[in-house]
Amino acid sequence: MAIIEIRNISKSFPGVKALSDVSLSIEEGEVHAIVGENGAGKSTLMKILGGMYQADSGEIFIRGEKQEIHSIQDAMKAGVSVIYQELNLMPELTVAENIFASGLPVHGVVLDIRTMNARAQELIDSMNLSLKPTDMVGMLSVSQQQMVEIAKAISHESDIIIMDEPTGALNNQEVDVLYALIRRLKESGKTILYISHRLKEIFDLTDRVSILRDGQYVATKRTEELTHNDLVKLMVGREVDQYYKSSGHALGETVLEVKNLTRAGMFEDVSFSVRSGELLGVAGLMGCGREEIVKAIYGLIRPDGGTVTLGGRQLQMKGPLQAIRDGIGFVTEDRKSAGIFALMTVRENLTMNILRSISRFGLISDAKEQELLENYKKRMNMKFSSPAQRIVNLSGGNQQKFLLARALASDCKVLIMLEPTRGIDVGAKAEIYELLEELAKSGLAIIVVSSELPEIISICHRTLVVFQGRITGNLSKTEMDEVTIMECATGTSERLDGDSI
Amino acid sequence: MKKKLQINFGELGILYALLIFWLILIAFSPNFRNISAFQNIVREASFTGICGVGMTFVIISGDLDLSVASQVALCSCVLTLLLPKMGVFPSVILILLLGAVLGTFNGVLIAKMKIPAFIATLAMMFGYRALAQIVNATPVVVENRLFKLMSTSYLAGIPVPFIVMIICGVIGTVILRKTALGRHTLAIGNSHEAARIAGISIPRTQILIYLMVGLFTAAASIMITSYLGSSNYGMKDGFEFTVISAVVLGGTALVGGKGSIFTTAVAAIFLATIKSGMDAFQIQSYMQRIIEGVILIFAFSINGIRAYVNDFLVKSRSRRELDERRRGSAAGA
Repeated sequence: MAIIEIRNISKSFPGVKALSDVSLSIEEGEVHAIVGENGAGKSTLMKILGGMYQADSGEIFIRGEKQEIHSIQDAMKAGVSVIYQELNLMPELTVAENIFASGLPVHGVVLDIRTMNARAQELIDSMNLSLKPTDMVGMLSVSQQQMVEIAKAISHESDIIIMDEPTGALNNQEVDVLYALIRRLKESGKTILYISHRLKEIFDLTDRVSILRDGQYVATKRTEELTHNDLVKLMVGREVDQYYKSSGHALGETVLEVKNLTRAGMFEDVSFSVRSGELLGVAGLMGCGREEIVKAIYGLIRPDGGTVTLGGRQLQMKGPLQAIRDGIGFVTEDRKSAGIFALMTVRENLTMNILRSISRFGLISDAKEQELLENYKKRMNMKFSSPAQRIVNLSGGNQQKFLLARALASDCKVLIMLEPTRGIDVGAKAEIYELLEELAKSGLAIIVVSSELPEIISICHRTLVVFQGRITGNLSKTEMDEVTIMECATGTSERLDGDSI
Repeated sequence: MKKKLQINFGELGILYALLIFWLILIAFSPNFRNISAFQNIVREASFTGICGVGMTFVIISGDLDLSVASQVALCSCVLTLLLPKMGVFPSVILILLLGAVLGTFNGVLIAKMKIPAFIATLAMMFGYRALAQIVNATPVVVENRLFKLMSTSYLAGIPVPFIVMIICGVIGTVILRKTALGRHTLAIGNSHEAARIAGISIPRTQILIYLMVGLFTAAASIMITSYLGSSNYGMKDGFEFTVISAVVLGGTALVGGKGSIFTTAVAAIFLATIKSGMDAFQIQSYMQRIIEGVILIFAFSINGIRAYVNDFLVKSRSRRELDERRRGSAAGA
């Protein structure tokens, strides 16, 4: 009998349908993988099972009993423990204190340290770990901390353990330790739901795999019956025609050249170049290091080594201010908290990068500021009620146009745009694509980092694919399709021969 | 129409409150039926208001400065030492410079040594007060008549300190709205991360903000010293809270990101009016302190209250709509 039965679960967030009508069942004692592209709904589903989110509709049965999971406590009572991507440990407390944080053994009101440590030791021994209950969690390596999280889950005597990208921060050796532990857990009869982007792990570890795509359930297969290619096709397989198609235009000289850019733990030996007029995509799965690479070019992350040359001049990479002066524009993926200045007016938001150039004797020129606003309003078809309107009251698409305009206002030669259409509606999406294409035509070099493959395929002339901090794909327009990109993004194959057209 | 009202309540509410309060006082107390009562109120308010210009910048940037009262005392003690030796004009310039130095020191602690503003300025609140005691262990009386006239004279019936406050307020507003420094202050208050991406140097901006606080606080100290006619290291204890309440009552959010110097000034007058009203009705001083405390709590919770009121309005509106729909469907049936 199935230990977990998920029936018709749906969940919406403002503007997005994260899960629609998902049903699947998990057998007792299996290691079951949940896979899908970025935004397929895996994490949302797990958070619903773990009590972090509430489903809008649908039912969850555990061992045939209908469950009402409204909180993390409810989930624990039902026997479900979730180990989230981000570790939830208290670094200033010991291993034992962390493991038993939600149910400390006590003598009256006094903490019973001896019992706590003894129980922790038992647990650690049973997991075959080399930890002491009295170790400070903050002093442990990331993988050891991960093990503490797992010990915590086991201490709740949960039968079902959900692991959301547990290997994200682990090196190969540490992954082996985790594998061994998962196998032991399986032998002791626990059921494990395993979420990962890394296909290799799925084939190494799991019995069955369920695929989600765009919030919908696709299929459940026995892992041994699948090949890597089958799995990738199940994960992507989407009609591409419905998306915007770019018309080609001639490219100019190389503008930006990145050589051997490295930052330990983030990315390694990254080299590529962008030509004037080129729209270069950067694809890769979450956590692969693609954002970090472009953030380093903009000076938000200091690289350990490597060079960036713009228009033949090597950049000093001292920080964003220097980058703006050097001619690099940047639009963040985190529009709400790192992009807009929510409580300031649209006009103030537009000119934030270029205040000096529109000032005379230190005073900002009203006329020049207004003129800029009118220009961009016309050019980008921005919609707002008055120059004094707070930007937070605009739609996502209009906010995005303002961020783009802010970057352009400083006369950049290279534009870096992360997730250009995240959280904006279909109409505004098309407008942003048209704008990007127009800008490229006028000679701007544009780097688009995106989680949406169709977006990259339809607007970019060429795309880089990043896997574990390295470039594993350099695909020209003709080679770009979802399957090839996913193969590079999951480390299944490497293709570095792509040229700019 | 409704939207307009909301904006007015949020941003000019304090102005309406002040006018209503004035009408009540004039109606119920003969003491307020002459011009000199109001001259005294605005003079008293200008001390808070001048210092409040700098404090508005700090709070917009998302921080607090608890050391301004001690800065006032230290500047005042040094000022009374300088006055007999070098006369009014050089002393005033030197005190403004001293204020700038004190403020910059705070700024460096916060921006460069990364000490949270609350802690850094709390430490300097004690530090500057102690320095004031070292400078002047006993009260010093100001003999210079010209210096005393600075605060006691009038221009067209308006007390000079009030004119100084207006000048400071205009300078502050121009800096806030029309210069890169002002925009950067607002930007930092909105989001440090977004400011960083926009190429704004956060430490540089913070140091400049605290430098300004020092300058405006020194200006307030000069006016206060002139009006009191003496200095004393224990003077103006608790003044920082009066200033912070004025800024917050004026609608500047404690979390930063928005604010206005004009409403800070209005709130300063509001607070001075309450003080003067309590004096007129002979409310005893311990009671006055309790009332001041209540106002402070009100000021600090005003955002919470506003959210609660909005929430209540939204809920009652949706309840009303629901009722109407029900009634509609009942009528239809």
